[in-house]
Amino acid sequence: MNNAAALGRDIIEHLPRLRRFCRALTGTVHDADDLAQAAVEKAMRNVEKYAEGTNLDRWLITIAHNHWRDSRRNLANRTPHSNVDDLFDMPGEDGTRTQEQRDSDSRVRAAVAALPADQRQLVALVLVEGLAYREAAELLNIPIGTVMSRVARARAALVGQLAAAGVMPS
Amino acid sequence: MISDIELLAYLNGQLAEPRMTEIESALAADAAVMARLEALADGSAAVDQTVAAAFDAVLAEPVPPALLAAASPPPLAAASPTVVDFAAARAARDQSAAARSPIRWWQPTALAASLAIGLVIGTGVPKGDSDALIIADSTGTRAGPTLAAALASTRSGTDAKLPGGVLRPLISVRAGNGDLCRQFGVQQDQTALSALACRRGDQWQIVVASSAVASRNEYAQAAGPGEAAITAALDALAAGEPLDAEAEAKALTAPKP
Repeated sequence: MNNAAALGRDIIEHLPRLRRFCRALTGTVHDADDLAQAAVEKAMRNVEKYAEGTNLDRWLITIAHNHWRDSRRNLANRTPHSNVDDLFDMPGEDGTRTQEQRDSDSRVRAAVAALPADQRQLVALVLVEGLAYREAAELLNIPIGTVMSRVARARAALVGQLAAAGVMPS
Repeated sequence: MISDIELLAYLNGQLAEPRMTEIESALAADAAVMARLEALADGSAAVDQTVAAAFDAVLAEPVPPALLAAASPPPLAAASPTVVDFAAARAARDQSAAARSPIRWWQPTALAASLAIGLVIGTGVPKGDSDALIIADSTGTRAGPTLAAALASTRSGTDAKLPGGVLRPLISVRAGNGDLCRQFGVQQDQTALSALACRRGDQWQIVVASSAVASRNEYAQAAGPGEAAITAALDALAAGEPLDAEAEAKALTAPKP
């Protein structure tokens, strides 16, 4: 099996996680899968940069994040979504969760989607993907203090939103 | 003065020394700081878990076929036939310790993805091996000779024995372009294949297929895996209503276009 095939096989293992990250980053199913697709295509074109032992998760989310950032640059001043109710994504097809849980999941994802982009990307990296602040700061090339304060603001906003929506106790 | 941000970072073990130690001392000395930390811990732990769980639900969603196809290397190097070999697929799957979705997709246009998914492979199988269920090569993905013959002669809702498996066609439809297409399941030991194939001349081209691990007593649900993709493919083909038994019999025996 050649390198591209081996990389493709490894990537396929990571697709669910990549989709999860992209969903958090973009806020919609459609944009998320477009972004995941672009990231996978770019990864496959750069197979020679992928070495055995590379953290594939980290590599893929870095590629996805860069692509997202670059494409946003082209869309001057995208305003953040303001109405949480407009942002309901498709509920996940997960047979193990109840309808109530899926509604609640959908509401939580909508609340994340409503965050300003600079906070949302940190929610995706730190809360969803589990990066340490230091790792997020390196990936975004911003000071760790900025990471910390944005995460703190995102948490505060989410607590407010979710308590108002009845998803979390206030 | 210790800010909430610093306390949150402390909670997550993300503060550098000596600040970490300083905050520990402050916590020991000042009940008010400890109370703030506890409030933050409650709040942030709950919101972090809620957010993580909401996005973890995405992990269970089926991966779109287009995304799987994107993970396939562009050129399929060998033009020699690649044959779906379920025994090898099972072995490959059993060897894989990683947790994966029970449903694997492949599409004819994404052969290499199917290689990667682990559904395949046995290159070097002699051409014309009549036992191969599905043959994929540079000309497309199609039913192997035995399966093709069974598809051409088995009425929907009845079973046909294949080497190492049982075929059950479920429905026949006419695609918008007039092609006869059939949705069918193949139960093989512990693998259930669901697929949609359309007749082109002598061949049955595989439009979409998925396989899932299933036990024999789930045969009735052999159509289960991949139902959504097959429905989508039927829509894409502008397929009409399922043919009734008479129309199907006529279509199956009709001279090939």
